[in-house]
Amino acid sequence: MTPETKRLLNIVGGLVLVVAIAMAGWGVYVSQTSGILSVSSGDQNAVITISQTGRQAKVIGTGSAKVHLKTGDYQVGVSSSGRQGFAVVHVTTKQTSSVSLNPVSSPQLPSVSTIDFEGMDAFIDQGLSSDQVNAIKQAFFNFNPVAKKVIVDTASLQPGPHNPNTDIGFSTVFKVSIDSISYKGLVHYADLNSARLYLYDPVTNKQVFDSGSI
Amino acid sequence: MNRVKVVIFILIVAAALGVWAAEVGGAPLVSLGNAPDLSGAISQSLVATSNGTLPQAGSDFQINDTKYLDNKTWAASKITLTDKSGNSIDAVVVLRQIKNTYQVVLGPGTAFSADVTKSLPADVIKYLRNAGVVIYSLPGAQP
Repeated sequence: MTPETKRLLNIVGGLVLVVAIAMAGWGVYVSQTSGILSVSSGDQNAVITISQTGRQAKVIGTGSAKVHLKTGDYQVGVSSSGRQGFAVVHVTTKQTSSVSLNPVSSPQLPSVSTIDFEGMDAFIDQGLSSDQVNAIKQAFFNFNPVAKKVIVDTASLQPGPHNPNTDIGFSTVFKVSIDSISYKGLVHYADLNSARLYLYDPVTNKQVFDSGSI
Repeated sequence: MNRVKVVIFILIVAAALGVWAAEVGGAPLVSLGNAPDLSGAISQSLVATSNGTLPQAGSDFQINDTKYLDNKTWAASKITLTDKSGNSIDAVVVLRQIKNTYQVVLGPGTAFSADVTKSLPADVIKYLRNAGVVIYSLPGAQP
């Protein structure tokens, strides 16, 4: 081996050594100053993205992803075939945060289907049809389109006042809470298809809502 | 002696690379650039799943105005989208706070049907109208 070749080899070897040690140092720095976010999805084609408030979004993988991130809250998104799923994940230094997300239907505008109803079957027991129960659900939605939970106190349902000589149709009175706010309710119905919902303040008995015939 | 040096060299390099692999663990460090509020959420909703590209605020779209509405449970932004040919389109996007994150529920667009917007809070609808968004009724729809 000529002296020139030896010197060249020494230089290359030195560079390789420096790079390797620098990589090791970088690895230690990354592991000590960041946490790991691990994302998995049941849809292997799902595009996985992350973002933060006041920050750009970035694609980090497809189907699954594992990245180092600085400490903070991140919005993780998965998207596939027009469906999306999101979650907020907190990343802590030197810890692994894992989340499993599947793309579901696109984020919904409020609708009757986004309200969680409880106790509605009790109206069937009072003699209303399923069409009328659906009409009552629509009426609750019309009263508060962004409500999350409507709970009918099933023990409170009872027939409303009825004068057979003058009244057309029947009514049922009940207690209900909408997102933890209590109301007195009255459903009036005269056939098998439509219903009308009235809501009252439980303290003052003042009417706060009349759905009209639905 | 040379052989010993080579072996030591290889061991040191291997050890250094081993440390790197163990610490980084196949998970690259990712950092996110600065951007206006909600731009990340808007980008994530616009991701093109066919090719995995993500529109970026500042290059693929600009956020011109953002308003938080209805006790900050809703937000609306006027944005300008730029396509690959350089054409710009102004639009509005509506976001809703769902599980502590803002997610796009409507748009981007410049016209929405009354059927879709009827469930929006009043101040969101007011913002849309003030932004010039057309709210139309479909033929035969109930008023």
